Amino acid sequence: MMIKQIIGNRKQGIRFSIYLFTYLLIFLSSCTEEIDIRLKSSDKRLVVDGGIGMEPGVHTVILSTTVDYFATNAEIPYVSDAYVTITEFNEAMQATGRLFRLLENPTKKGHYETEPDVFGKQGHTYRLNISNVNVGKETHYTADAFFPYIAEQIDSVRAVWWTNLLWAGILGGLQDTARGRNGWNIELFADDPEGENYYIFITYKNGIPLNDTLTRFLLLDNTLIDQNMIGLRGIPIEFISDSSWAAAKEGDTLGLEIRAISKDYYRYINEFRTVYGGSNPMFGGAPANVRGNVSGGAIGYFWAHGNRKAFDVADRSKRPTVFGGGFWPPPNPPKQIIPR
Amino acid sequence: MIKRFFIFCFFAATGLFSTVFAQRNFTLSGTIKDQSNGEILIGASVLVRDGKGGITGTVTNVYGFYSISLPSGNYSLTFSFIGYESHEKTISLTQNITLSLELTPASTVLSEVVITEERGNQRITRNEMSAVRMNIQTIRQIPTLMGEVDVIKAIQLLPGVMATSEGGSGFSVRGGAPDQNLILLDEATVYNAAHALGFFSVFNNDAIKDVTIYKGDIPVQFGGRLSSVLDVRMNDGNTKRLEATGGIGILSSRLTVEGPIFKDKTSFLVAGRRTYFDLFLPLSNNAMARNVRLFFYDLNGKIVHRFSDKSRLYFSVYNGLDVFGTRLGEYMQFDYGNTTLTARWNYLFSPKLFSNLTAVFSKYDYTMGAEIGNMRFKWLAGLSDYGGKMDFTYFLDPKNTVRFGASSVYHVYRPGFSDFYIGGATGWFSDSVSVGQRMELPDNHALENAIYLGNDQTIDDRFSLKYGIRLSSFSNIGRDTVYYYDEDFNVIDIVGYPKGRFFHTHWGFEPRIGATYVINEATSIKGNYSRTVQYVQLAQTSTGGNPLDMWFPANPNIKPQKADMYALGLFRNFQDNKWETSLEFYYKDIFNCIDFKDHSDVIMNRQLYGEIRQGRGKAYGMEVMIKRPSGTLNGWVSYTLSRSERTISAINEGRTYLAPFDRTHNLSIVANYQFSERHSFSANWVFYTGNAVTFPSGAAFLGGNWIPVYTYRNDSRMPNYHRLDVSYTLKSRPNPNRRWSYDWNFGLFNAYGRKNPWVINFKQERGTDRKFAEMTYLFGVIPSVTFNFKF
Repeated sequence: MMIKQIIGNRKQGIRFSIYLFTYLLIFLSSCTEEIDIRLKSSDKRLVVDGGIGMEPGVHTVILSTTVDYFATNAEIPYVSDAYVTITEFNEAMQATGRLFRLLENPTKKGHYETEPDVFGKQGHTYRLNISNVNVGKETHYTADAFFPYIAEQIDSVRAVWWTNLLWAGILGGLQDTARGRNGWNIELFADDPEGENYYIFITYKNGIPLNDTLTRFLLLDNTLIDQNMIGLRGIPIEFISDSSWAAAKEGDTLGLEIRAISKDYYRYINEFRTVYGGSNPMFGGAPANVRGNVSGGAIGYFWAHGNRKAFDVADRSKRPTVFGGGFWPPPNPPKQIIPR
Repeated sequence: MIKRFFIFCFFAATGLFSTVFAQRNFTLSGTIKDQSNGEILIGASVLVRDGKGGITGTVTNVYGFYSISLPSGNYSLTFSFIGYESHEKTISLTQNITLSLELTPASTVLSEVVITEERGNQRITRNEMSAVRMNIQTIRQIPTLMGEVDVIKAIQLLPGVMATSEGGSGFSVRGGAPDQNLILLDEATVYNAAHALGFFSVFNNDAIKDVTIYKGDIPVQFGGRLSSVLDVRMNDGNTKRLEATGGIGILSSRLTVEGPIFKDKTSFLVAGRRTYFDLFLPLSNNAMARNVRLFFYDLNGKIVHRFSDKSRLYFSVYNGLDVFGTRLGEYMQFDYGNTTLTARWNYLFSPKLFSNLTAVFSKYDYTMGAEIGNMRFKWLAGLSDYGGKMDFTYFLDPKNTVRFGASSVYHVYRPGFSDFYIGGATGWFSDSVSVGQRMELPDNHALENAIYLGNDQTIDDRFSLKYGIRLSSFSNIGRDTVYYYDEDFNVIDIVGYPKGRFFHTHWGFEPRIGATYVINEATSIKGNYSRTVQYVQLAQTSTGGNPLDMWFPANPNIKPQKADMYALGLFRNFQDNKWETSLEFYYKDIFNCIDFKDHSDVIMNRQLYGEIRQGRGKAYGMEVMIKRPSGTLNGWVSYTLSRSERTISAINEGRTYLAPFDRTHNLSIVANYQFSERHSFSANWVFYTGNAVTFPSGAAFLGGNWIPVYTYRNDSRMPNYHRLDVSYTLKSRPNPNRRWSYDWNFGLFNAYGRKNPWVINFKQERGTDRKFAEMTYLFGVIPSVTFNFKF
């Protein structure tokens, strides 16, 4: 699977090694114990979570407030009765006149929803306006989100059966599906337009997304890569191991969703993951808040992006795609020692 | 700055005038050594009485040399050094006299007779503050982790010096960062003084003679770091007879062999230490532990050759390495270590002019490699220094000692190179299309130069002054690629510089002034101002410390850090110098103080300079030390009350925040009780305020997860830290007819088993939304046994 990912994020390899060493060290010499710590009480801040996509439908923005750190098992304090709108601007940042009002769902507190026919457009900027809230220092919050261009980036995918995969899945995506050595690999056939591009990949099985959360998306970018890897034909993107919870069988429909996101949202997701995962004691820096795009010290993000999907039926008779001039079946390559 | 320069000129002129009008003087000089093994004695005191009530004196320098100019006449001299019988001599000074002599170690340290009034008083009268010299005997008495005698752990018990993490070798001096300490081993910089991720330091105590830490009042010959200089000197090797010293402990074994090659001319020393923790791991019933490789070693070597009384040559070498790895299906390895080489030549141009020429080489590097399946990955990084120094001490007259010299160091920084390779792994790559990625950050080169001139001047019996200036420069040399940033740290330009081009130079002007006023024989007051400049720093965002040191130089993007330190001290001895006390206050102003922005990425980042923010720093505090240097019960109590803060506009919304090494209270009690000639008991207790850390204050529900919300950087504290260590030493029966001796040392580290958190993580209970704090602590009660021998 994630060969692409490793190459794209070589640093993660370094980090992974560091983590392993730290855990080794801790394993060898230390103990853990729950302790009582009195934490400072935090000022309430607005939490914004939502966005606008390209498919016509209901788009939701969820408003809540922060709680004291040890108070997370209480009810989530959603914010009601806010006045929420989204305004569209063109590339020159002129209002296009499209304005969507988001109304609170009467059955779901704090969930503000558009009409069911609303959609965002590539290259436009969407401004979220929230007013009539009484949280924190402000009563009015805004957030701007640029809707990145998304070309016809997915042509198709292929789900192929792999056996005896020696190394798999240390880094990301469906981490816990990668324990075994046999499974389905989803190959991507796509284009990666010129310039810096940032992507989210989500894997589907029989129409159900397997990793559609901030912490489990597969994140890729093309900034570190010299060659255009995403544009490679048949690059394996996701591996669904046969011995994992997500194990698929012949005849299942497997697929990928690709989302082209802004650089800022990509950064946000990375920071979110760092904060969510907790920092490593020996290597992490001072913890810091995830920087969102909402004004007035609010937490969270308002995003705008489009997506494409492609599916394939799992079929064991299919051969993995050969790319880059290699051949099948491969000879056993001699072990190569990396020169010092 | 100009004003300061004029003040300096004024003092310099005063110094010169005093010589012009002086009467005819002669020089008394020589070297003081240990009679038993020929080791030179550093800091031995020479006291001169003129018979008319006038007393003057000096101390030996780091090469055991002293020189004092006196008007012709008759003098009675007393040579003394702690732990040695003092030696009296009367001379008639009618010409220059060379008087080298050897002091006999005191037969027993129990005898308080050897503690002479003169020696004890030296601390009061000496025109030096904020410096502590510790000899290795004192350090050996302190109980330690796993019985490993550790120079740095001993230093951490002094006022104003604190460990930056539990059990770690990193230390913070007067609120500074660990990379602001210049650690020198025989004049070569040791870039990473830690073994085993910091739990042990690289100094093998059998090879070390003397350790001095300058927390402030940094002498003009040192520079390049803001906070402190830790000057560690190796033994020269026994010039009288072949001798072996060693020890067997639960963690490591040591062996040192030293002796004369040509009697009284050439001596050598070879010392080794290796841990053998890893040898027991295969016995573990845990598969992971069985496959771990984990050890470190140190090798020290030295050769000293004496051409004549005037000329001596020293070669020192140090090499140490940590090996850390595992073979558990996959393979991983992580090695890191230092190498230093020093060649020094002492030459006495005249009894008044002592010179030392030094060539140094120093290297620190690490390799990290992994092979998991057919993914292979390797990362190399490090740095090397090639340098030369010239240092002169001119004993101008009884009232003036002038020190001047120059140094030049060529630095090569290798921020990293990683190789990444995947091939064959997945069954469909062939080698011809295997994916190999090589990421290399280019080397940086720099030349750091300095010249300095200083004078130590005695104005009268009570008042003495010290003033000096150090001029330094730091030039970046191509080949290099420099990213230039705008105010928001977006790259606006990338400029490549050709090989050998000096493309940027920073300058440093470092005045240092000090004064001592002796109120009476037992009391003095001292004041000091010093400016220090630091051109290289460590890219490290954590406080825990790790071996992945990446030093990066000042360049067009980063200004050198500068510190102005003001210190004032009151020194008083009690009961005929049996008790020494000091009270020091310091205030430090730091300019261009460095920190990393939120969510910074310092590993293998081409645009590392874009992650750095600079601002102001401030540190101030009070240090108290009460010491009983010898006697049946000896030891000290040190207490520090301090604060260290930073204000950097791009960090923490521009608000002032506490430096990670800020600790309000820091108390150490070190005691050694010698209840008979053979039995002694030592204990130390430390207490300090927990580190300033960033803990979450709130939580936000986002994307189906609770994530922590923070208020300000370092606005919380770890719990207070305290720990007691004890040890008991049993020595062999003293027998003058026997060459060998031994001792047993039994120790308990963390004797009452305090669980001091090393780190606190915040976690969420599985399956619920309940959050809780979990601490990781490293040590329970750790017993140790060490057997030391000498023959």
